[in-house]
Amino acid sequence: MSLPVLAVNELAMKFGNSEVFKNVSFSVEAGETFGLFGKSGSGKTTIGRCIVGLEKPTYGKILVQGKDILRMGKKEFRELRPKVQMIFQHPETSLDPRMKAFENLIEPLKLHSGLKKNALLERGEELAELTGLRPEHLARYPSHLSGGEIQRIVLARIMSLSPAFVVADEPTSMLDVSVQAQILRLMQKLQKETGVSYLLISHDLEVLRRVCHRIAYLEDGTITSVENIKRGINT
Amino acid sequence: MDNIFADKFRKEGLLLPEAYGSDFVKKVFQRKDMLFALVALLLFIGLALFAPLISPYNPNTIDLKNKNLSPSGEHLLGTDYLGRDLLSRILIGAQTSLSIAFGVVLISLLFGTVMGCAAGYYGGIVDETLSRVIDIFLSFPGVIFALTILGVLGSGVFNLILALSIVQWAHYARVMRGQVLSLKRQEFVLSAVTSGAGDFYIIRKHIVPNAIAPVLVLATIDLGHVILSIATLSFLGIGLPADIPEWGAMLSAGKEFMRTAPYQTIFPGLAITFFVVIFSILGDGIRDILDPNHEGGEIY
Repeated sequence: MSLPVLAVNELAMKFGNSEVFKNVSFSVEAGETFGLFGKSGSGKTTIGRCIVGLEKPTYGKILVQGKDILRMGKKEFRELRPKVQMIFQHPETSLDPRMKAFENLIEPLKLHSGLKKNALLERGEELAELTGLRPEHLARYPSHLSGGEIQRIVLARIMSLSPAFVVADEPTSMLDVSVQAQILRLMQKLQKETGVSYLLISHDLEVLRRVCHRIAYLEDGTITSVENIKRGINT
Repeated sequence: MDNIFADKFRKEGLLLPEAYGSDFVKKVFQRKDMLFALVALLLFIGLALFAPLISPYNPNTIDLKNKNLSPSGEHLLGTDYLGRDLLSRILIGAQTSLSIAFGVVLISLLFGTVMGCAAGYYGGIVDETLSRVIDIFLSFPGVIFALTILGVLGSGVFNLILALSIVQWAHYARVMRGQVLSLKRQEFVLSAVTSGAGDFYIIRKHIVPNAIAPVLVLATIDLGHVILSIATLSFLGIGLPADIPEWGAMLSAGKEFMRTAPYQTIFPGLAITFFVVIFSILGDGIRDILDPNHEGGEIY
């Protein structure tokens, strides 16, 4: 059996004397959407941030493709970083307000691909098309875009790095219902095309039930149960 | 993908970060107050640059026969208590005041921005150490601090720039630190971190462009303040040597003759006021243009 894309073992986090979460363990398979459900303030976002290396947990292991990112050298972690990406909750602050949408979109490509200007343009155009963006969206500053359009740019930006795993922290909670469905469908489409895995963090059980293969329930800082939604991976 | 997409794309200059700069210039030209201030400033910078060529007299030539003259056809702004032509002294004085002011603001802005960025971005012990240093520099009253430094170093243009820069940099560092502290938690900065961008790239591409607006506003308004500080120090007799014409020193000398020859203080005073107002207008304008939430701001 192949290694899970992500395995979290006995993760614990303390801020001072208060324990945010403890003994959190789960794994996510390739092409799977794994849901993490919990109330506001239950530590879901902090778990997500630990996985992408934005926070350091007090205890535990985070294995990405079998390698523990908490015990990795800086150089090794930097090389692995593009493989683990995050979609943040607030579309309005997800893109640099001083860069046009397209500049935001191609930034990771500029950092990692080594592509020259024209090739960069073409790849950016492909990604824009893949995520259903139109040219006029790309010419605008983020403050001129809707939440849904911004989340599309965020998805295009992330997909440019061909990640193995994406932590999606309430990616649709700030969007209205019809746009929510569009973004979730787009995420599913991208999953089918690229085989990316998602850790979908949400306090909306209905959303999780609609798209996840399994859902973990976080209560009082620990995972109390994992529900199997009986949906085959990549179906 | 069809070509229409790509063509439209290129035509609109989507890839060009230069568009940011050209948008800024366009906004400046749309604001009448800024345009006026900018033209006035450029005019006076031009006058200051060419002052040695256009000054009707040598600003340091003493002519006791013609002392304390009122404005006339021969001396457009009159003469001072040593018979020196006031117009010539104001023109050459602009050169001194402006070059010192720009020098001080540039040095303090660069140093303060780097220190503020380092403190805000790296946090922890770096922030603790730099913040205490900033606090120490901010705790001294500016003019007294500059007087002390000049007392140790002696007067002169270079020492004056150095003294005022030492006084000013901490203000920029404090503003920059605050900006960086709030920015580094923003999701677009975190996105850049998770994309694998290095610290220097993030600071250069995301932090500085988003944090710099209030610092630039401070710098523009500070240009006026520095001119006032130079005037204050010269007024107190410690700023510049007597043979360098400077507006503050002219005010100081003219105060003895306020009743009999008020123009000796009025004209240098007007010159100082004029520059302070110009820089205030420019500072306000830059703030509005760079503020994404302001109507007519660059990102609207």
